[in-house]
Amino acid sequence: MSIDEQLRTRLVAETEHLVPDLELELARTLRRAQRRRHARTAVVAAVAAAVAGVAWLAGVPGADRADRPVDPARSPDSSITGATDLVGYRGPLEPGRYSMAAWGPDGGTTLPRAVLEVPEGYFSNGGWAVDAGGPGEIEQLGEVMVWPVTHVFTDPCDTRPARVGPTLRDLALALTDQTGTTTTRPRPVTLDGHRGLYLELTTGATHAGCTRLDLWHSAPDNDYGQDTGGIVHHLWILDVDDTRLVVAVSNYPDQTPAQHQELIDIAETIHFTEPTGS
Amino acid sequence: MRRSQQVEFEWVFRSTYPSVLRTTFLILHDRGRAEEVTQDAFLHLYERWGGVVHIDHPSAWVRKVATRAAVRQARLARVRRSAGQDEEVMAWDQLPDVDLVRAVASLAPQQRAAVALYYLEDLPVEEVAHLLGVSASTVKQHLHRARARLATMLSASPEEVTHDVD
Repeated sequence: MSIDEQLRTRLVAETEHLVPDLELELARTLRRAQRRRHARTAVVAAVAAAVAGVAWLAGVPGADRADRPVDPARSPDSSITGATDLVGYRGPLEPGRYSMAAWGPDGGTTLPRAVLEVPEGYFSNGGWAVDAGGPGEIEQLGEVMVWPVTHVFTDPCDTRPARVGPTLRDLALALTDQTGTTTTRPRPVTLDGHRGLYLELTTGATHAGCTRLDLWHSAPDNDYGQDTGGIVHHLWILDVDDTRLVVAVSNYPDQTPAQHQELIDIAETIHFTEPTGS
Repeated sequence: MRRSQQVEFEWVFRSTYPSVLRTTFLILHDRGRAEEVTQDAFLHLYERWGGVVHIDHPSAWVRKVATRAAVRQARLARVRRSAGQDEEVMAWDQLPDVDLVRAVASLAPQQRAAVALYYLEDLPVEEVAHLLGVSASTVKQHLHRARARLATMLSASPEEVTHDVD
């Protein structure tokens, strides 16, 4: 018997003990899918309600826009600062300049907005992020987002985030102290002329006792977490006109170095503008 | 999702899950993590099942997602282990008391994946290459090195190593 035949025969024999309970595994998968669907629906509904409420209070024309669920066929709105407004948009992005809200309370309407230049090949999955990869692709590859982070999960496997102090340094220290992640030493940085601290944070692996890694929080139901480990986050913790904002570039493990760098380049084009709801 | 789509998904799940689990187990050598990675892949498949993007070969798709995720996790575990940042991830006690599965555990993660897909799942080299996102020649190289190493470990004469994947 050749070594190939030996290997084939023995591997089959030695993995025969792996007999899954198929019905149990199927039920678990369907339950998880149902939970994720409910969570997504709740977030979309909450954000839509918040945006509609703020728009109505501010008397913004077209305030009913947020009543509609995210519409994949809709084109982004280009009414803000000459840049195309991403909020509420889901779909591929034409290369160009976009205005993105921070992912915070009230849909980020009271916070400075980020205007950024997006090259070809990106999409947005709801309007609060520029996403790499593409809708319908096997895996999302990365994203650029802006967060008004108020809490950090001291342990990404725990479900309770801890409030952090108000300074840039408070937040940088909370992130570097997070267990289960590795971080670079925070260093001074400026982005769009706003001073801040920059660090890189890499998540560890998920495992049976911890299938989701929660990192930070910016408002009720606005937690950043992933069910994939090994994601590298580039974080600019900035003082934007007395508001602490975090520009987060999250690079997934499957990205090539060029894709990884392109997301960083996109983040570095950010120019902050006035809040829409102020 | 329509009832007929649900039935189709369940059929794919029942027919594919066991073999995908075997593959991820041989890469990760931890049944808990293998089940987790496999279930995640099927969850992603389910979420696309009723969508607008049609997946022509769902079994191959889910095997690709699971295999790549397992390789990623195995690489990360290696890096963390070598950096001394993680507990002993290679849970030897969880392995069955057999030589070959332990020997496979000593290979690089992508070699393990190539061995699992080629020997265990009996897939042709070209398909293994597609699933791993590498060229066929890279897969052949992985298999050649893995086979030589396994043969040595199993006390077989290196001269017995054949080259039937070429």
